[in-house]
Amino acid sequence: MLGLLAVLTVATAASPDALYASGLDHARAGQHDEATAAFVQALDAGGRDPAVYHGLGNALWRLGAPGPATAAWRRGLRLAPRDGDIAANLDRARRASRDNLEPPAPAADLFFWQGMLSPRDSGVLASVFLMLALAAPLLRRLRSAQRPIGLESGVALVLAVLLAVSTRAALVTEASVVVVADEVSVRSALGPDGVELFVLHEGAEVRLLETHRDHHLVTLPDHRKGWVPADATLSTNPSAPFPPAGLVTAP
Amino acid sequence: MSLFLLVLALCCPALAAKLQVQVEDDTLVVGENVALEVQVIDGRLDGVPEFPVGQGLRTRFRGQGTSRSIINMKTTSVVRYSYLLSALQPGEWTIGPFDYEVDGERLRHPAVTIEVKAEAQGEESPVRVTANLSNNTPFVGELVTYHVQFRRKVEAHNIRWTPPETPGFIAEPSAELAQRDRSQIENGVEEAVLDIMLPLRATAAGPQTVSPAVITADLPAKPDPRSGRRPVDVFGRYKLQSKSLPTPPISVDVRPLPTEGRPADFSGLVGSFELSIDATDTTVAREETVTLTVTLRGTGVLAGFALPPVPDTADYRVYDDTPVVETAATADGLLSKATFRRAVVPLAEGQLVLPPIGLTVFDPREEAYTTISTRPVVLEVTRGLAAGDDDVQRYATGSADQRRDVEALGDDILPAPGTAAISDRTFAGALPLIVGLPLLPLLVGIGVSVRSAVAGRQADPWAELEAHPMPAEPGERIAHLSWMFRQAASLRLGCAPAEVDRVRLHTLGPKVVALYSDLEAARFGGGATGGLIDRVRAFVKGRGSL
Repeated sequence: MLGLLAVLTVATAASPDALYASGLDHARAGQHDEATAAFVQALDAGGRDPAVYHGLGNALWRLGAPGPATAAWRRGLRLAPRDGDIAANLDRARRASRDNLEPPAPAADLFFWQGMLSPRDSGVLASVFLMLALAAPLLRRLRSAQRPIGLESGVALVLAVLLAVSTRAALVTEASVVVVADEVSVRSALGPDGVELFVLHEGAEVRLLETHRDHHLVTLPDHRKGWVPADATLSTNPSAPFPPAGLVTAP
Repeated sequence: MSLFLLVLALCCPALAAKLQVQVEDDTLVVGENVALEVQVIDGRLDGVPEFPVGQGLRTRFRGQGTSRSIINMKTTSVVRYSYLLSALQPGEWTIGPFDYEVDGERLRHPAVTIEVKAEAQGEESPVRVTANLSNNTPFVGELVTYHVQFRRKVEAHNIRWTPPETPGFIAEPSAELAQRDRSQIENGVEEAVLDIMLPLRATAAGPQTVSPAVITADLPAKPDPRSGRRPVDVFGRYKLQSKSLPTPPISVDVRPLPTEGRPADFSGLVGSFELSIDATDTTVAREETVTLTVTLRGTGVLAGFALPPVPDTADYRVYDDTPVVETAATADGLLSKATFRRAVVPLAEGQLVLPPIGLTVFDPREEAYTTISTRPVVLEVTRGLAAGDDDVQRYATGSADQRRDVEALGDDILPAPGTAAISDRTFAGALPLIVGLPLLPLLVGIGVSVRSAVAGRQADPWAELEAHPMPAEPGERIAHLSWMFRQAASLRLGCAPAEVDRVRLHTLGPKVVALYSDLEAARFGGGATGGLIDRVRAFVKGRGSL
């Protein structure tokens, strides 16, 4: 406990890199509680990096918290879709899950490239193409070209728009949550008045449709829908705050 | 006579089925084709009607059709059977009589007589048809080729042929009909030649006659004897006329195979054959395989033929593969080639001599039975695996490859990277970059626009020069007038003020040159200064011109 306190004290003043290194050291020493705390501190210090989520998921998995571990790895994978190690760990967690659910499918198959790019990557690319679309007429003007706008501007603008739309789809429509409670009833309405439709278990990842007060409306791959308490789930959005270590390890 | 000839016969009482026969023309020239139609009115035949045809004629069924008509409230149906009637030989020939059972009734029609005239002499026909047999005195079992040649010096369309009737022969099923179209030049005239080669196998001894084959083609119609022009259709194309050209009949004498001296092991092959053998290797390990390839080629039928079996011995075993037979019909006859693959497995070490393979065939050229054989094959058989050769790695004894699949002992998660530059990799973390990048060209564009606007607002140098105050001191005034003139001239000429000289000023006119001279004289030579101020001001006001 003193060690944990010491880690927290150090973490408040340390950089994300130092906190990540500290988390790795604790993990190698088998101190997964301390490692979890260090990784969460690294996140809060601005280190929302796939490596941090990877380490956090590993530490939570060692602590026997497959739900939060799944959420952490899922966040890491959303930041680095091409990271095979995180994908392998996530697959391992899904195989161990009691609910045999397919991971939420991409919102739009049209944006196939979003399976290889994170929202950040596609957003930066959209920004670069927009910059090129705006810079091309400027260059033409400086070179005293006859036509101020050429084909390259149009192509760059179309690409920028496509990437911006796909980025928005990845950010908004692909929201999902992971069940972190041991078992949770999915009901037809908010609160205990709703009929219990089905039960989800820890580690189940479902698509998030709507949030109302402290409940989430979630849907399964077979299109079944229902409301679950928000505190029984953890968002897979990498920008969302990750609960403190004590909360996630003791659901 | 080109009118339709209508032969109408009432073959049965009224209201019963009737039979009609129509021939397009009853007087034909050799090679001419006309339509023949058998009509069954108010009745139907089973199958296609058949009827006897004279030797100098030939018919070919072309199809049938049915029509119905209503006359005086009575329905009449007519089934028409159409034939192409070809005149092959000159003379008077008959078709029919026609005798059929229609709906339980017997319908008869008398024979129709057709007169066939020979072609007019003296004019060489542009088309010719010939036929011959590669051998007119074959032996039973021998293959011959029936060769039809269709030569034409005019364009021919829709060429087809009717094979001859070949009593005493059968068309060899293992060889396909060969057909070749070519052109050749004879006496300086090019003509197209169609060769058709039909392989026939003699099956019955005795004198036989191969009936004419018929080539039918659409040829240009003959010129009009009065105008000498070839008839054309409404589109200006030469009219075509279907013509049948028969080949002459061929007499054949099929000879039986001699019984005297026929060996007991006669293989049944008739023709000239050669036999050869090749081995894949001359050295083979014991109990391993060497393949012998036996090739039999010649001018006979080889389909279905198999080599005589070889019994297994203590020294070797033999396994025969399915033979591959190839045939090709040529004008000289049918060439066949059979390839037999025979696997031999030696059972004993040392030298193994495989005996020659022999076949007794009947050679029509020699008119005698002959035996053809291969050479003996000598194999050197070495020690094999079965002999326990220690140099060979033996997998069955357990000393071989002991590898096996990697055994999976557990399943675990993969570790996080040991070194990583941690940063905010979320979309929100990259927002400044995402927003800032498009702003760069915007800012540059705004800067360029502002610079242009500022540049556009620069003061007019002529106006500044015009508004420049004149010094009160007379000495300084002359220097100032000279400076103003140089400034204005340099603006007008597009050069530096120091570069303004008399030569350059010539382009601005003699008044300007005169003003320059007066200014120089007043400044350095003490010339008159009167009127210079007004003239310089006028020069500046006039933007460099007077």
